[in-house]
This record gives sequence, structure tokens and C-alpha cells, in this order.
Amino acid sequence: MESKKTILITGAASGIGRKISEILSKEYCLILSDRDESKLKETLELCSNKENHITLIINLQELESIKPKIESFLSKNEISINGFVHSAGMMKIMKMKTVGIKDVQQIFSVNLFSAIEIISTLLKKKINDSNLENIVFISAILGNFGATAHNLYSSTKAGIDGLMRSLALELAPKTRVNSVLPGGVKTPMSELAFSDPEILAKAQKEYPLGIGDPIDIAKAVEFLLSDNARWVTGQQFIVDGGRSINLSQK
Amino acid sequence: MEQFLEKLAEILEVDSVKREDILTEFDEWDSLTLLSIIAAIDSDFNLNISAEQISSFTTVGDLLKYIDSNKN
Repeated sequence: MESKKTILITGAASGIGRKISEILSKEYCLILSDRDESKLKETLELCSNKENHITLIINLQELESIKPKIESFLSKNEISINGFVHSAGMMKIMKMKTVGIKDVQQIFSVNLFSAIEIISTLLKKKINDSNLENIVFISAILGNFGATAHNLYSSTKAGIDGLMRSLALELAPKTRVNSVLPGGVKTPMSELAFSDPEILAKAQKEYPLGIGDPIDIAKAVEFLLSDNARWVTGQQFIVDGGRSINLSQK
Repeated sequence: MEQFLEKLAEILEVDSVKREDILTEFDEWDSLTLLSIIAAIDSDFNLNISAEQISSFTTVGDLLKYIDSNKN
């Protein structure tokens, strides 16, 4: 890898994480991470400067494997990580009475606990040589507001933004920490719901600028990682096509 | 599959569901119910199914048949 800054991206195999990888691949060396090796290779093919990027297979539900995997990966490749983008996310829309402990463990592990484990690992001098300068979480407007049956998902996103603010203080001035809060974006995850014409029509009505595209989120991440955002930390950057300020009568 | 049928009954707010029951005739049938069923199928069978696919099924039995032939 050449001497550009190195960014670790989780959830890089699809949706928003894949688009973030494509956009950042022009300016950074990337560590593309996901549990799905074949889709991760597809992401790598979509990136610019392919020779600058490497893949790291991690299943974020296996929390105890995260630290040893990252530690041996960095040591083997003789690199350190300057930026971390946590884009991995799992959403299950379910009525509270059907929520089971397995669902709780899965969603909290992927959306929140794994990010904590990764950051804790990257802050260790022996592992990452004090090189972490920037963290961007892909949160969601649902963490600030409510939506029926989004119980677990909303909780994890509120949790990630609480973590974001505390870390912004703890890690300043060396490391900036921010969240991007997307609204509804067309991804494989949201496609399961948007494939229903009724759900799609309702959503389109609620978004003044229409449903978003992963590139809208990727561009916000690119800004937060750049020096253009050098005085920005501890913030929720809402990118939702105006959805969260829309109180219009339906 | 019995456990899944119990969960389906919970989601649909009924005591029990039968294979011949017509999905759209449940009082609770709406887009939220549909999304809850997607999540339940993902949790119980590690299977991604779209709202569009579920809407194409007529009965509970059609849904079960799909799960049976596609589950991992």
C-alpha cells in the first residue's frame, strides 16, 4: 500500500457500505470488511486504484473474534488504520412481543457492540500505533425519532449516537467522531420492504426530495473524513431528503 | 415449523393459524404485519424474503411451502 491514509469500512459488501468504498477508493487506501467474501470481492472490483485496497473477512456477530482478527491483520500487513467507517447494519422490523434474545444479540452485535470492540482495538497503541484520527458511524434518523416496530434498530442507532458524542469528547483533539444519519435509501436491506408498492408509495410521499441513493450518504462520509470538516466533531449529520422535518398533513 | 406458526399467530393477533387461512383476510393484515413476517422468517430460517414475494402468496400454506423449499 502507498502512503495515503488508510480507512477501515465495515459492511463494505453491499448497499451504503459498498458505495462508500467506491467513493473513498479514489483518495484512500481501504480495508474493505464484511462477512460475505464473494460480495466483498465484487465491491473491490468497483473501486478505483484496486491495488491500494485489501479485504478483511469478519463476522461482526462473533464479537470475541474481532480484536484478535484485526490485531493479526494489521501486524501481518504492516499497516495501521487512520479512519474507521462503521457501515455494517442489520434491520429487523418486528412487533415487540415477537422479539427474541437471538434478535437482540444479532442486531446489537452488528450495529453497536462490534463498533465498540473495533474502536477499543484501534485505540490500543501496540495494535494501531495511535493512528486513529477519524471515526464516522452510519446511524439513522430512526435513532432520534420513533417508528412502529423498529424497536431494536432504533435502540442501536440511538446507542451509536450516544457513543459518538462521548467518544468525540474523549478522543479530541486527535480523533474526530461523527455520525451520518440517513433516511430511507435504496439498498438491498431496504429493498425487502420497498418492493411492496404500497410501502414504497407511502415512503415517497414522506420524503420531500424522494427516497435517497447510497451515493448521497457516501458523499457525506467523504466530507466528514476530509480536512473540510476539520472543526466538526460530535455531530449528527442528517442526510434524509428532508424526511425528519416533514410535518405536512398527509 | 410449529414454533414459526405460533409466532405467525402472535404477529397476526390470533390464537392459531391454519395452512388454509388466507393471508389478506386476517384483521391485522397490513404493511407492518408484512414487514414483521419478513423479520420473523429471517430470524427463524435465515432466509431473506421480500414484501413483494409475500404479497404474491394467497394462504399461510403457500408461505410455508416457500420457506420449506428455500430455507438454508
